[in-house]
Amino acid sequence: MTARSIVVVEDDPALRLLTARALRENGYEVRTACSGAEMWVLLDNAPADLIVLDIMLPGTTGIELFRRLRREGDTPIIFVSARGSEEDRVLGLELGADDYLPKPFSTRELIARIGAVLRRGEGGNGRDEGRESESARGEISFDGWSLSMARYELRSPDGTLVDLTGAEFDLLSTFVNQPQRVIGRQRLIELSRTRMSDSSDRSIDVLVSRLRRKLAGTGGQAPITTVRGIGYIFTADVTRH
Amino acid sequence: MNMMRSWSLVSRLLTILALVLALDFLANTLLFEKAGEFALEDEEASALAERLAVASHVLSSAPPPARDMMARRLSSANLDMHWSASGQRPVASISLARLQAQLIAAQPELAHAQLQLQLMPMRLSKDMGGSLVLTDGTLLTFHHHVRAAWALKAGNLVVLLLPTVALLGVTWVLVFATLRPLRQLVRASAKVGTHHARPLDEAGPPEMRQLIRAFNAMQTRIDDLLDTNTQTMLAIGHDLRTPLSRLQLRLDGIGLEADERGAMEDDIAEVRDLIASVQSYVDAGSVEARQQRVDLAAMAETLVDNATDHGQSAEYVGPDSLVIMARPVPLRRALSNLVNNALHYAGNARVVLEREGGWVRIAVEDDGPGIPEDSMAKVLQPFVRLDASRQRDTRGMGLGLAIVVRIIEAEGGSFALSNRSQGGLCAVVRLPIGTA
Repeated sequence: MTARSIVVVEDDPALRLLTARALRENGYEVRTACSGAEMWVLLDNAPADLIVLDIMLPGTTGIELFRRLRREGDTPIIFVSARGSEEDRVLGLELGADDYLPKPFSTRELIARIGAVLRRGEGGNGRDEGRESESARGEISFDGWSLSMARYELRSPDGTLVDLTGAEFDLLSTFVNQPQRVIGRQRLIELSRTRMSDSSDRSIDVLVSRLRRKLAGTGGQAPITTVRGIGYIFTADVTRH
Repeated sequence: MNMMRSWSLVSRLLTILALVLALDFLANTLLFEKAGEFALEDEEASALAERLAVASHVLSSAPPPARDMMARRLSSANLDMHWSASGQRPVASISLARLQAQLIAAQPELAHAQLQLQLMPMRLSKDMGGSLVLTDGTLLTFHHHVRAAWALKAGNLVVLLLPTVALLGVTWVLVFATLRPLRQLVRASAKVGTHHARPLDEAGPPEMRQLIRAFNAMQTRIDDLLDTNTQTMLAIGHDLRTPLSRLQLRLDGIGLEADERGAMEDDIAEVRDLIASVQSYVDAGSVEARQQRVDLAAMAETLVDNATDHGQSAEYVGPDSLVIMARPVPLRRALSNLVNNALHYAGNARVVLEREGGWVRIAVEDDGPGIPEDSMAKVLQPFVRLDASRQRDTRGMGLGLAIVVRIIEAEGGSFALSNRSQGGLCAVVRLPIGTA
């Protein structure tokens, strides 16, 4: 298998060099650019499998580069920011970045994110029903509720923001990816293992009841039905945008 | 009103004074005129005139020692008469010109007796008084009861009070209006440096407009300073992140003992956390994002459940859903800071949410050691930490509660800390529910 090709766009020379070295040591073929203009030259010469882009570049801002990259292709992008604010993260993901990495990051983190994004891009096999699916950036709606995968946001039919815990969000993602189908309790326990310190039959029931309470809001009925002895079924119609 | 713009404060106050004096003058003149118009029924006037004329005749012809007794005998229930050999004639404060003419018309000889009339003070039962000079120069004084004169007596009191009342009223209204810009200035001063600060419109006399102009300039300078301060903090944070990234990648690229690497990675992580907390402190003051409908109960419950999902001891007491208007990102950070503080210092957290009219009260309680009463105000200041030893396990720059204060103020709410009587700390946030 040939080495995957990565383009690193970063204006700080030393950091550019260090990032490139770390990636090469992990088996990637790396080309570097210090600006958007240089990046276009590199991409014209040969396409890349993934771009690591600093959002605060001089000249054209990273955000403009971003839009143009998205218009001209679907090369996966991990964007790096020195601002590290919540707004930056959300903005990047909404613009269609595949992942966001705040500075400072370690080689381990960088390699892990790149690996995850490339695996996701390979398509088909081994995909999870969780948020790392084709709906990773999509907007999903059911019963008037909307779920934004980029923002990790759930909004009620009247637009009220309703917070979810990590485990609840994963559970809801699993449900909306398999509506009208019975999902076994055992499957849900496995999926929530990373999110909860205690993952058991009982804790899944507690988690489901928490999610039901939030989806019921003020007087509604949550579209999650218990299938006795087996698991749960998500009964609402799900649409994607 | 435009013409008045150039009037100085002094001329305005003087004008007010002149206006009040003019009013006083006008009121007095009107009342004196009204008193002069006062008259009795013709019959009552001629009866009074006749009795006075008779008394004057009788007393003039009587020997002086008997005159006082005779005067008393001639008195009746509604007419008191006294004789005195000589004496001060009471001076009339308000002339009763019409009544005097009426009496003299009925008994022309009263004119020769130098008839003088006056209204009596309110406290006396007789309403009107007067005096006559007898032919030998001695004095006959009398008091007469006239029901109709009462209104005039009340008027007399008003005459005395009116200038004072009018002076107070008119002065109050005009001075109040003149000093209106000053009051606006006082209110505006309280908001300098906050998000509610707005430049004031220049209004009022020239002195006031100069003051407002100077105030606005000062406010702009303060805003610029705060802005520069904020930008500097952000720029430092931003500029530190790149070298810190280099340091991290260099560290990753060299061979080191595991424990040494671990220690250095912890150091880098600590610097990163410090920068992040400064960033949150700066972001906390921002009101750029729009308020939106947020389910505060779900937010509080989510913070608690996230903690319990990770094996920590936390509890939520309150409704399943409570929608308010707020900026969710900073609000979530504020509540999360409070819950994390409780978990860190006390090992447990209890979030109690209640609706109080148009407000919602969120209490974050713990069963920890609390905070010494004399340090209560200090912990809300930025860059203050109470653990004097600077324990290694307490990361950050002491910005946690300062961030909470800034965020809650930007949301229009209030924040207070107190020790619970059962022990432990209680942090109370009050937020307006808003028109959700």
